[in-house]
Amino acid sequence: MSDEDERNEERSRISVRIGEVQVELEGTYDNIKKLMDKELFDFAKGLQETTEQLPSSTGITPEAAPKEKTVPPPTKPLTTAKTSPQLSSMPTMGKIVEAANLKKTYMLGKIPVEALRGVNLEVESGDFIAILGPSGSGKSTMLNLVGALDKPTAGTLLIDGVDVSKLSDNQLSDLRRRVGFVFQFFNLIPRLTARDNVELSLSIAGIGKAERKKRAEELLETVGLKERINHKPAELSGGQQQRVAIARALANNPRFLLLDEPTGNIDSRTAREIMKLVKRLNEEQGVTIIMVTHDQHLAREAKRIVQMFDGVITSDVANGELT
Amino acid sequence: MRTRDVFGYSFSAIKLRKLRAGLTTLGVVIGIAAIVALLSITTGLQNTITSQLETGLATDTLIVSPGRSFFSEGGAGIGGGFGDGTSDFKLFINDTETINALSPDIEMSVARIQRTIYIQTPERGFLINVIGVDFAEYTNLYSSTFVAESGAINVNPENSDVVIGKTLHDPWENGTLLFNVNDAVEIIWTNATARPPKNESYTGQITAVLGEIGGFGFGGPSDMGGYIPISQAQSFFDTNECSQIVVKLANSDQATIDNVSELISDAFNGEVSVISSTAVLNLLSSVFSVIQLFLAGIAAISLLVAGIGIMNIMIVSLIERTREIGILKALGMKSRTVLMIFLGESVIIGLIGAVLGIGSGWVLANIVAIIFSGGGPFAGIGGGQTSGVGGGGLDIIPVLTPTVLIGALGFGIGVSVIFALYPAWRASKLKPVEALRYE
Repeated sequence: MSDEDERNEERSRISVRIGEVQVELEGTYDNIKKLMDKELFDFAKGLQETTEQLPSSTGITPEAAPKEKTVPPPTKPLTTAKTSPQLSSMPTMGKIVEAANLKKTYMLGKIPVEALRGVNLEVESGDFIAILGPSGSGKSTMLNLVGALDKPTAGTLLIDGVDVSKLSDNQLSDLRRRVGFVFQFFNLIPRLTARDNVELSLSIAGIGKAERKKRAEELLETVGLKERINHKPAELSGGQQQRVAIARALANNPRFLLLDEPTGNIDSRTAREIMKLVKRLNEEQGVTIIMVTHDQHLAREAKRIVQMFDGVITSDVANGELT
Repeated sequence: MRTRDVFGYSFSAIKLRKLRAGLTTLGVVIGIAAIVALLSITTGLQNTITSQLETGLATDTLIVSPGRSFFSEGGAGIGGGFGDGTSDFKLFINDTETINALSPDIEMSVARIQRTIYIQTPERGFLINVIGVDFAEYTNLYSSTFVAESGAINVNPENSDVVIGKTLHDPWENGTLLFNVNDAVEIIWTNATARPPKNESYTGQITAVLGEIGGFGFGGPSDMGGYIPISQAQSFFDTNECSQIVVKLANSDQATIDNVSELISDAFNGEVSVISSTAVLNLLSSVFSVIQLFLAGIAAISLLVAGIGIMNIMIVSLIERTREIGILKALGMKSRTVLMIFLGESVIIGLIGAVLGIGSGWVLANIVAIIFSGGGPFAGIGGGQTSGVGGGGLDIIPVLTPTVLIGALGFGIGVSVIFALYPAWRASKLKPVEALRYE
């Protein structure tokens, strides 16, 4: 791939240079973002073909090229840095997560790595969002921030209206109890049984033994593991372990569930069952779900799909709008 | 998280690594056991020695010996036996009159001439301390201990009269008698001041055997002593000097003891040492304290090693459980609770180690006490100038005082917790994102 892409901080405008051709793509095109990632190549190729047909290499108008592609015209305005002040002034009711110009820089040894480079995202109560993106796109970092496992370097992140960057370690811990985290590798405590793993979450919240026991059993029944309640993780299949993890994440009636590649480590049939369970939780019990994945098929299960690439959100659409 | 749940979680972590936790605990057990065993044995030994001293030395008596005391000039001086011996000062038998005139608190004073002699019959002979005393006064002074069990102590004795302690009569308490009443015994004394030294001897007759006294006979009558009339001692040893003067006081108040001790010391220009039983006991107590501290210090080193073991194992555990800590934190566990969980593990190890350590230390102390008590009755018959301390046959009853018990428990747990502080702190400071990423 000989072309390269450069993007400005403002995600409403993207410049692409193919060979000698520099194309400015205005942000009015929702499809531009969708063309990032793997589709970028096809798009760039198509663009190159278009430009080759043109008599002058500088003659193309930004609007012309993408519009000729099959991408439908935008129906939803972009959530941009420019619009974020407007967002934060909106009432927080119903909004569980509000991220504005969120940035996160890691130090890899002595080299700073920008994992998030200005993310704007809102999550409404009852949403089911899939954050889609290749590895290194910053989606896991985003999830860690939303899950209060980490603090942003810059920008604001409101969870339930509370600014995460202003919280102390202890307050972050309290916040984590209101978030249900489900990991790719389940992250159950190996020495504890399914019930004890679920109980642990309740125990951390300071709930007494009797109530813990009752609630853990209910939750494990909800995820369909009533029969395996006294089994340790090693005695459970991957799918069953993930169900325990989901039950554990639900234990403290979280404001939302965060799923990090929830089916990344289990077979596809079990993965479908897990997704069915997640959808059911969302539809029947109104649990807000934010799921990170690199699997497009999985993402299609969500109501809303957010695509990330290189630390920024490149598209944010309702499910039906993604082709 | 509730405290009970914190400990429950800590315990589940310990249970997972039984062998490792067991070995770590063993370190604490050994340390605590060593401390408990040493302290309870020394306390038992102290009690034994103290009670034996108390038996032989009435609290209302002072013992005046020639020679300055190391420990104090005059006053309630300690350690006539420790007199520097460089002085030419001599205490004479008739000095009792001087002493008697010093204070109304002095009821009486009795002079004693003490020598090491050889007592023998055609069958057997022993080296013993023989004490020349006025039988009448001595009976009066030690009315409970200078009492005949068989035979009779003549208030106006013949020169040949000899009274012996119970051990010289029936040491094994099995009917095998060494010397008995009416036995004629040869008393042999080596006069080392004569040039050349020569053996003096006379034939005495045992007229009485004392009842069992127990103790060392420090100052007072002893189970291992022989007694002859003072007039006989004067002529046989050819001296008017006495070894000690025993002073009986009207009461055993500390003020009286101090006062009279000072009067006596002053009367002899500080050339004598005046020992009271309380002073001896105090000295003994402080000596034992030093010994105990020393031994406990050595034992504490082993506990220190155990503590380092705990720290080591906790750091290993911390690294192994990095991911688990990440999970706990992701579930909303506070850093403080993570700290508590790790400290909880060390408290459990410390507690179990301390309890087992106290138990095994106690068993060890009893075993040592049994071995100690196994010595023969003459194992340590002594030739000291003031007293013959029998080292063998000491009945040590190990004592576990509440202080030692609580101290050992606290020390065991304390050391465990202190050495777990650093690993626990490190665990609590782990960042959840990094900890979760840890493989």
